[in-house]
Amino acid sequence: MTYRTSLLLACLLMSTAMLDVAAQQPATRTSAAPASVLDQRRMQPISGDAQAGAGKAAVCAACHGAQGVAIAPNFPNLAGQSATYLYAQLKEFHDGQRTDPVMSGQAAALSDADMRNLASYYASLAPKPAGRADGSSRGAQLYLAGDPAQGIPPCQGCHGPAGLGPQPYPSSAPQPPWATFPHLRGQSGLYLTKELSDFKRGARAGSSNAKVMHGIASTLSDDDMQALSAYLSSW
Amino acid sequence: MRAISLFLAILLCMALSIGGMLLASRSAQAQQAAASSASPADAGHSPSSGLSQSDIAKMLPATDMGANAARQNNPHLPPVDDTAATPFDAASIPPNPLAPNADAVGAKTCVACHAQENMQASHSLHVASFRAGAANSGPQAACESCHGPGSEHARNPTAPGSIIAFTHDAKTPPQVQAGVCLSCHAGGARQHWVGSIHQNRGLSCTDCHNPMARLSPEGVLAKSSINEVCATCHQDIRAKFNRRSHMPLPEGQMACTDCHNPHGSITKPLLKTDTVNETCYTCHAEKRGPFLFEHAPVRANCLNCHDVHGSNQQALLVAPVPMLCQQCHTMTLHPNDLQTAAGLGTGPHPDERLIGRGCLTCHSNIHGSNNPSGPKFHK
Amino acid sequence: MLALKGNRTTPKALALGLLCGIFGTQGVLASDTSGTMRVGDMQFGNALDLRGWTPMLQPADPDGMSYLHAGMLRTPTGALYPYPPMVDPGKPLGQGDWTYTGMLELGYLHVGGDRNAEYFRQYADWRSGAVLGLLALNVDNRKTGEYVEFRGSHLSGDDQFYRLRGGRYGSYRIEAFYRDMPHTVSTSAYPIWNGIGSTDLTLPAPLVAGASTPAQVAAASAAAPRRNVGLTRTREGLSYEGVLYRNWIGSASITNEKRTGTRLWGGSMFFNYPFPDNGGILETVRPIDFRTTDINLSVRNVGKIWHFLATYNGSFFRDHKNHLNFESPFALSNLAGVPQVADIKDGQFSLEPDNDYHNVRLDLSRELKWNGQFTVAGAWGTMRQNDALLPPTTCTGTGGIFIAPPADYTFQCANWNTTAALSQKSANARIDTGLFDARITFHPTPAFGWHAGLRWYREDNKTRYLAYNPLTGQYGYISENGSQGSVVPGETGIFDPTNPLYRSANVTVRNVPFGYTDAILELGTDWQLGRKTSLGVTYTFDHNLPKYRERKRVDDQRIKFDWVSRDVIGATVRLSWEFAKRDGDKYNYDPYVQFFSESLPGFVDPATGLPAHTVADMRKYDLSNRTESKARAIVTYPWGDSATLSATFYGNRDRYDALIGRQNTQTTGSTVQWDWQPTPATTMNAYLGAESSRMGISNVNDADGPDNGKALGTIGQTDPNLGGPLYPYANQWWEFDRERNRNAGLSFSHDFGRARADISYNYTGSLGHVGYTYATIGALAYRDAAGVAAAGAGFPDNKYRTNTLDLGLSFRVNRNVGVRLYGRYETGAFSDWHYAGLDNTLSYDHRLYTDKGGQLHYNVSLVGVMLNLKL
Repeated sequence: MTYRTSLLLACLLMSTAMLDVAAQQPATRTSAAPASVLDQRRMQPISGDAQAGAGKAAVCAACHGAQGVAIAPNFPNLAGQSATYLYAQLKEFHDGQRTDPVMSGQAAALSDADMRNLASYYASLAPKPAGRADGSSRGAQLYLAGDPAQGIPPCQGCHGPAGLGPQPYPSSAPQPPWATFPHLRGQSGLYLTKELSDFKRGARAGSSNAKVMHGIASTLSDDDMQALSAYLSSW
Repeated sequence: MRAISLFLAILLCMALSIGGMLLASRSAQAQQAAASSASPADAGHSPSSGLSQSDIAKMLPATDMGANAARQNNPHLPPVDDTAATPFDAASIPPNPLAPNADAVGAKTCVACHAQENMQASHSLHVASFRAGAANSGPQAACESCHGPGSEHARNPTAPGSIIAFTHDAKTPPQVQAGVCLSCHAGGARQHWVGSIHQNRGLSCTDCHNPMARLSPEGVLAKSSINEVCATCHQDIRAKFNRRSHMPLPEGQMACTDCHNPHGSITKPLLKTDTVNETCYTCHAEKRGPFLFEHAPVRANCLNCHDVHGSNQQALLVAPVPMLCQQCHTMTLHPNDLQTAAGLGTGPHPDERLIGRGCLTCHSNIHGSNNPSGPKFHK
Repeated sequence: MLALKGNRTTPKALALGLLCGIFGTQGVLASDTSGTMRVGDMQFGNALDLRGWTPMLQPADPDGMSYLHAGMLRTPTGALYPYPPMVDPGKPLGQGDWTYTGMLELGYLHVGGDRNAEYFRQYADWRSGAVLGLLALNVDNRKTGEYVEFRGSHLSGDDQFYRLRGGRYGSYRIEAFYRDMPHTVSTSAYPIWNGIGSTDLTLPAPLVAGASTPAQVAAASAAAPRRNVGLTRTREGLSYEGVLYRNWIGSASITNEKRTGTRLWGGSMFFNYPFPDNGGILETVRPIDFRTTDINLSVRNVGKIWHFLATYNGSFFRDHKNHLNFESPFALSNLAGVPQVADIKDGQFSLEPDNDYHNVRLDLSRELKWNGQFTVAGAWGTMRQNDALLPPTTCTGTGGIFIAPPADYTFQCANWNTTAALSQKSANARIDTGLFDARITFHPTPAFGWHAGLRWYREDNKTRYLAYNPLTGQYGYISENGSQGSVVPGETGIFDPTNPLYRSANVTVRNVPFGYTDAILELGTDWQLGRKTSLGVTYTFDHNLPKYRERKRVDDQRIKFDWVSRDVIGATVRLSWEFAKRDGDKYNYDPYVQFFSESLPGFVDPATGLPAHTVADMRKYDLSNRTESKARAIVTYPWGDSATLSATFYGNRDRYDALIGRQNTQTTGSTVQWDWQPTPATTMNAYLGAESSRMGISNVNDADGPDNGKALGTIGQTDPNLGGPLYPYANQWWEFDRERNRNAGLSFSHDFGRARADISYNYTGSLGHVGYTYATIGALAYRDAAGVAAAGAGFPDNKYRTNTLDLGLSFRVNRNVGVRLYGRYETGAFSDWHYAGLDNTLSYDHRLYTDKGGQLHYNVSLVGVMLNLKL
């Protein structure tokens, strides 16, 4: 018995001695911790003062247009977008989970109320008028049905059959934060392509939603992204 | 006696050796087959079409041992041929009665959105085993083999019943849920699931199991241990184990499923053996006897005197001795006296029928005596 | 003798055969998915880690189960699944596809306070010293699905487990395990004998067998050292399960258990209570030295339509110490007659004989249309033993009592202390069992289903023994090794038709081969009422035909309703109510005539008639008419998105139709539990439980003295009826046992990132009260003034109470190293009137006890520091 105890103690001592050695390896691994990730899973739909937001929107209009329709295709259209989505993006820019040379600086100065108000303001604007999309295009097919052979799920599951956000049925089960999912209809194609490729590359990965989109964008080839963006921007 | 046991031993030896040889030859075949099919599958992430039927058969190992073979050899299933097929033709992707028109979309599509689920599930025994078997051809089958075809869910994820679901708000009826699991896990320990109390009371497999994450060391349980799973509903039984005498379940040495088969059995209450007593004899084999002199209630049912989940008396007894014995024993002279506090060790008349082990001080062999002078169990 | 030898070799031969079989194949090892078919070894854990893998559960994955939604999903019933642990992707092993993960928890545990408290160490061998909390290793091949896993833990040499599993998913599994499980029976035992744990208990000097005074015995008892009484179960097992050929799946397992240690036992040298300074009542200690070898084989074929399963279970029990001899210190004296001729000073017990058990079972199911299934099961089993019988007594010289010729109640021990005194040399005991079970189920529509079942089971006891001594031509046996007949003239245990002194002795001369045939018919239907509600009704008719019992037929009819709804204000509610009524044929209070000497030719009724076997109004509770109702409600309420409230309410009421015997039992209880897991880092749980139960019995004291009726041996003792001269109403009494149990607990754990705290508190308390009433003091065992005054209305309350506080603090030094500080503080209180006064003295006249019972109060603390290493 005493022999066994001492054997165990010896093992204990030896393992503590090895502790230092073991401690060094992972320490280097953990040091490069990424910036915190915005957990959007519990995010509730936001509310804000659209009129107050209008007052703050002057500077935004420079790129996103006076009525929320962007002045150039490399900027996203904001008109009619989900307020909660817009707020979440501003917050991510503000907090550094999403970065953009322009937007990071712009959002840094905004208060939480400003972000809510701005988001509400752009959500209240009329979206860009509907275009004439090609329902038989590859993009339409991907959006509505996906491509099981490539492992591409249909986008409409979360972005809505009409591209105007999801329309969930009520359930007592835990739900995705539906309001944080953006409307895609009529969005700028150039912008969409860039974002999809950012998701795929992991350049936009600062939120739980981005982690979902990373998985999905990873299934898309460059051609698929182009096709999707073309379809959505013309919708 | 000896002859029989030796014969049995030889028979056993032979049977196992033959079994082993068959097994060895079978796994050798499997290895060959795996080797021959490895090259095309390794060629890259090609679309899941272009797979042969035998590839599919290999990538869908039944989660329960041998069920895959059963499926392949089952004449009642639609015949399978070797034409090009999607991975799901061979798998029994369960039909979803609430989404009869849905098509399979493949696991890659599922995990595009369900990335974290995929991560957890891949480390649970259940899905990991799917993956292992599918190593050559891609893990296409894993999700929909249980959840049914996913196209309608992918298009409209919250549409009620669009996918076979196994959780609280699932629109899939429990029978359909259990049917999915049983399509591989039928038979064996689950031979008597149909008609069992747990089935009748609307339980689904996922009330006790969660194959989507490694929450338990084995058994893909819904909680971290068997006892915690059972105590989700049977809280009162779990509480009985806190009593003074109990079996070593709160000490982590024993599980509910040591005696009970929650998947159904032909012995109430879900016992693993033919009778209550045979379950008890499995550990308490010395009580099996048979003895020269037997005690009627002992042989009839251990539960006549013992409350196996826990008792406030010594040795799991249902009542204190001598009261326990005096329920039946009214014979003349010593058994039928009313024993009172006067007979305690602290009383005016310390009485051996009461103190310590009471009746059992003399009738110690109460479970039966093998002594020629033991009809009263005191030899 | 040959048979005996064959008996002993059986398990060895079978084990050898099994091992040959397994290793003759591939030399591989594993476990099986038929685990829930086989009794035992489903759980490997210990008191330090109940689950046997807790360290691997931490930390929980902060990302939870999904990026898509917060929280965890719930089971169909509504309980939350716990957050999954952080996935350990494992490290590569070599060049191939093998990866491994591992965990080592190692540390030091210190036990302080009353470390020997019985209820603290009942099933845990807590010791101060180094402990191996957990060693877990997993090696698997993601490509082929092959794996090897090991788990082990070591608290002490008597409390440890090691298990190795390996195999290939969907193909085969092999398992080997070794485990030791402790069971402490008493930590306050003070046996006086030498040879504790052996088959021979001898008295230490200066005590002399059969010739020591109570004072000498008391002194020896007071000086005896304390010792623990308990045993260790050492089990090892080896099992295999895998695909044999095509869709045939086989399993084989062999387990071997050694049980070694001691247990408290008895020892009777005849009564002391009626005879001051006479008789001998001993609490002894018996050895436990068992070995059981179990062999389980199964083969199944599972198709879509047919399911076939064949199983063989064999169990071979060997008792290496099949008797216990003990020396009694007390002198016995004749009640009548001088001089004293007998010198009975030893006692003996036969301990459990070796036994063999075989059971073969076939199960066959077929899927039918209308969602139906038909299942039949048939089994045949046998349990046998043929141990050599011990002689009827171990006494030497002359036993019994010599009064004056012709009243010579002596017997020569030489005629009884050899196996030549037996009608058969070995037990030749055997019980065969048969089982047939058929059931059919249909669910033609989702809304309606029905099922029917028939079960038939028979237990046929083939043991036949006649207590006849060919040396003397007498029947019967030597009661209590000769002591009874050496105190009371004529109560030797012998019937002798040729001797007027023994021709009226009504003694057991045959064994009773109890058995029964039981047939159960069950019919049930269920309806689905809407999508979330169902109702079921089941009728059961249980027709039992016991053999050699007071009733030849007992019928139990039962109707059960159950109602399940998944949405009662969001909760899942399961209600059940059942009502049962039991009756049977005429109750014969004495079916045992044929087993007593009264049935033998030459038996002469005593002058005052043969005393009634028992009171005719007694109804044994397993056979009496009874009505029973039971109800139960299980409620599971999802509370918000991160909490669950669940509760159970239950009760039963049993009424027995018996004037004498068990009258009624009832239980009422409820439990409430709240589980909360707001984030992966935090969990909290609280529970409360309460149960009250009551059991009532009635009995009647026979007129056993001039002060409570006519003394025994007078006219009228043949009348078995309650209210007659032997069992007068005045002597009837009633007793009840009322028990109350309370449980409460609270646990909380939170992960602060680098540190994690676990706190839990548990309370359990029980109170038992046995009370009684009686028609007159004629019912009492002691009817003198002091006895009546001390009787009161009940025994002192029995109590059992524990408070346990557990604290754990774990620090993560880095990803692979952690330190865990662990503390437990436990207090307990216990009292049981069986042990009242025994803490003062274990010796009362010619009675000697060994066990003082559980400690009245104890406080114990555990402190440990554990190093956790991820390997």
